[in-house]
Amino acid sequence: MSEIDDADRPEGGGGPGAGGPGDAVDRYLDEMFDHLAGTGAAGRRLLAETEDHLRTAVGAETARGVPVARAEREAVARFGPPEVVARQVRRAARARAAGALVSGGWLLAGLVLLLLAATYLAKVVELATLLRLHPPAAPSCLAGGHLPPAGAGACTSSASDLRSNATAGLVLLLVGAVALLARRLVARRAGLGRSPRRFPLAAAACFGLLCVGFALFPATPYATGLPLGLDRGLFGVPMGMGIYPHLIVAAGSLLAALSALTWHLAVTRRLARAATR
Amino acid sequence: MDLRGHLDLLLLGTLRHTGPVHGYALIVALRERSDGAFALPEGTVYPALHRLERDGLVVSRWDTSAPRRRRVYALTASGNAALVTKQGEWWSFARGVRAVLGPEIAEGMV
Repeated sequence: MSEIDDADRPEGGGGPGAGGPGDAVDRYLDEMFDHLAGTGAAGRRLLAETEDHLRTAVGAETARGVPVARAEREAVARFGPPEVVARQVRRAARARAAGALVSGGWLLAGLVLLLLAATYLAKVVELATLLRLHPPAAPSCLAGGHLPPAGAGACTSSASDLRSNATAGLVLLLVGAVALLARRLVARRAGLGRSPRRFPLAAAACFGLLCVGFALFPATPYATGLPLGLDRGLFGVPMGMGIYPHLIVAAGSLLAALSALTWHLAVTRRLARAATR
Repeated sequence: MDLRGHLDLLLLGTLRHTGPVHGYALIVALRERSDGAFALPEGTVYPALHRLERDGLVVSRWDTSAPRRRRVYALTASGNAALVTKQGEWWSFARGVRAVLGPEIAEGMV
């Protein structure tokens, strides 16, 4: 939200030393402008409405034969002290900012939970595939998704790993979904503020980075021990899925980044439409 | 007269009566319909209208057809429903007050 600044100061502002017709309204608008500092779009809108209101009121009174100076004094007096009017806008702006922070934090927490759930469930897919490739009777060690050289001893943890990962993934999925649903319900019923305007763009950037990270990880030196699923076909050695879970998560992140970008464009378009209405 | 707690009802009720209207005309209509009883600081109406808009009870748009651009407010369907609810609450409150104060006061209220 851009702040209210001198460019928003109403034209014809009076200032000290002025004394002719029009000064009472101009002085009032100047005072209002000073009191509205830091309130952004809400302050700009109130300032524009105040100017229209006062000039319309003065016009209506002068049309009935009231002298301009008196009409201005009365219009300003009826409008109320500028600090009182501006205080309400400042209070609302603070409440809105706090609401946006809570709303954005809540949304972020829900999305992080869903992302964690996705990684656990991707692991489940990996383990399930490995179990299918290597039935429990065969010696294999699937914990961590790495397979030992042939004949490296039995490993029986794969089935329990699969169950624990599946449980964790489903619980996280459930908690994340409930958190997002609850946020939506609270937003509707209790008027929880909207997320910060830049949230969709920030989310798109985060998911984009995540996508790049997961997509490139198998190519980094840290992934030297990472089995490539295709190796099984190339070398005849059972290596498991390898990079596939990373690619799946990268694809999911890309989808999330594109969705967030679409969301950002929709918000931008909605705001542009509202500004021109 | 202190309008705290009643301003929303009065603004929504006036908007239903006037139809889409800008802030100044809304305030004038409120003052005239109340016979001058509700001569509140006019500037406080705008933050109240902004709050009603955030709550989805009114919508507004800039009217650029006038010499100065001005914000025009209108009641939404949700605003209409909220008005009906608030009116019901108000009548319950008024009935309760009448019952407490007695019929002789109630005569004066009507």
